[in-house]
Amino acid sequence: MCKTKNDELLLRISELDDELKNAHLTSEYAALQAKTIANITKKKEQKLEAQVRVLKTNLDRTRGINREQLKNVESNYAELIATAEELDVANTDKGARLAELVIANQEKDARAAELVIANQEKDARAAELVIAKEKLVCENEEKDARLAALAIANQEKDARAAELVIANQEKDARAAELVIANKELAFQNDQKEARAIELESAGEKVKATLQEKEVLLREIHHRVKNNLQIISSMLSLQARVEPDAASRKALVECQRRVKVMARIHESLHQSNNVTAVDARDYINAIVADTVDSSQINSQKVKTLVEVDKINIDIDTAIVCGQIFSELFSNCIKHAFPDDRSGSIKVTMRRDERGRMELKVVDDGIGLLEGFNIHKSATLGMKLVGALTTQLNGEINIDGSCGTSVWITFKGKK
Amino acid sequence: MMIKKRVLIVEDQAITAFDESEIMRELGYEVTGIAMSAEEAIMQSHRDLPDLILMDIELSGEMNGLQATLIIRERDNIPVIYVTAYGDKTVSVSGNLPIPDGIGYIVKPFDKEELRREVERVLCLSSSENL
Repeated sequence: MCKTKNDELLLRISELDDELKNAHLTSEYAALQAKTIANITKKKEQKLEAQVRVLKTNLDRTRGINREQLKNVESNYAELIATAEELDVANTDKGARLAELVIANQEKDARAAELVIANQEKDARAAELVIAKEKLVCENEEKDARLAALAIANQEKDARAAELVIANQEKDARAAELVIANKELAFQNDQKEARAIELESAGEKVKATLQEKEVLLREIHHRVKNNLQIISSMLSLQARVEPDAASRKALVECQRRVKVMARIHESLHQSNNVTAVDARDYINAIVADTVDSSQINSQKVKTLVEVDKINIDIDTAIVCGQIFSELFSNCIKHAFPDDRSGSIKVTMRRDERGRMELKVVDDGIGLLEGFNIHKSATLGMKLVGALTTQLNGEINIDGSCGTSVWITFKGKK
Repeated sequence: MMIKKRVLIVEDQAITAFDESEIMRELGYEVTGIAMSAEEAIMQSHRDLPDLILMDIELSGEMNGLQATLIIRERDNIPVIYVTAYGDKTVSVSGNLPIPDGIGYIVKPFDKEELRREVERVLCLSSSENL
């Protein structure tokens, strides 16, 4: 037994020994392997260091390049910003310019439209001018013809001028004669001037005398009127104390007739002419007097006076005025009874032969049937008849429609 | 009873003045007096203060009716009617003559009717002015 155990131990020792040897070998291999790895690592380190150095160099170079590039970029950036600002400014300008251009464009459009119209007008004008030109050509031809005629006339005038030169010489001779005659006339003129001065002074004296006479005449007319007023007042006072109505009426009628006489002096007193009166003023004055003195309503009975501006001499005027006053007061008193309304028309005119016509027409009640002026019993109509005879005149009466009375007589020139 | 309006007559012709005063009385006026000259007219009008004066223009004495009227109108403002041989009936009737306020105009020879109309016209105007 011990022997088997021993053998096993011996066997075990030999196995262990083998294992030890293997272990030694493994360790050696591992050491060798480690050594190899160290070597490889060392080489790799060296290689890596070399690579690092290269890389470092590259890095430095790259950095340098980068710095430069950075600088370049910065400067480029600044430039770009400046450029951008400039562009901004330029852009704004361009905006304003654009607006201006838009306006300008619109103006140009408007102008273009105007030009189109102007063009049309010019076309029309051109057409007119063409016509005018044709007309001018025609006129020109006429003028040429006229010029030719004038040339002939000119030659005639030249001939006439030559004649005139001769005539002029004759006139010079005549002028010399006239100078002599002129001197004679100047001498005569001086004499006449002296005479004219004498005449002027005489004329002034005559004028002064005439003025004096006119003043005196006016004064006389004034006095006559005052005296006629006294007569009128006497008649009025007498009428007032007269108990008989018919007598009172007669006195009032006389007062009216005196007044007609006074009016003629008034007209002479007023006018520049002291020997003739204006028929229109005179008739108007008598109409106004008669209407004022009557009880007639002038609103109901209208009077129309149509008298030409005629100058009549004082003698005719007094007679004519008396006739008219009788006729007109007859109208007022008798034509419109019982507050009747109507009108009276008075006309007076002178015809071409110098014959005067005085007419009084009313649209009143008219004349009584069978009325005859020559047989009339009233004083008024008797006076009218007598006064017409004094004027060598004629009297006509028509009482068919209202009453018309007209007198014709030859007026003195 | 209605109080009569009082009138002064200025006229140097006695017959005319008498006629005027008779007519005025007939028309219902009281005649305060008759003055024959402008001086008398000024004195009487200031003393009696009439409602109206009938004034002739041509008067005997130093002054005429126009001068007297100026003084009377200035002092007592009494309406005046000129009764005169001067003038033109047609002009005064048609109103072309510039007659001042408070002044009337009658051309001689006058009659009752003319006097009545002008006196009434001037008195009516002056009373409407005094209202």
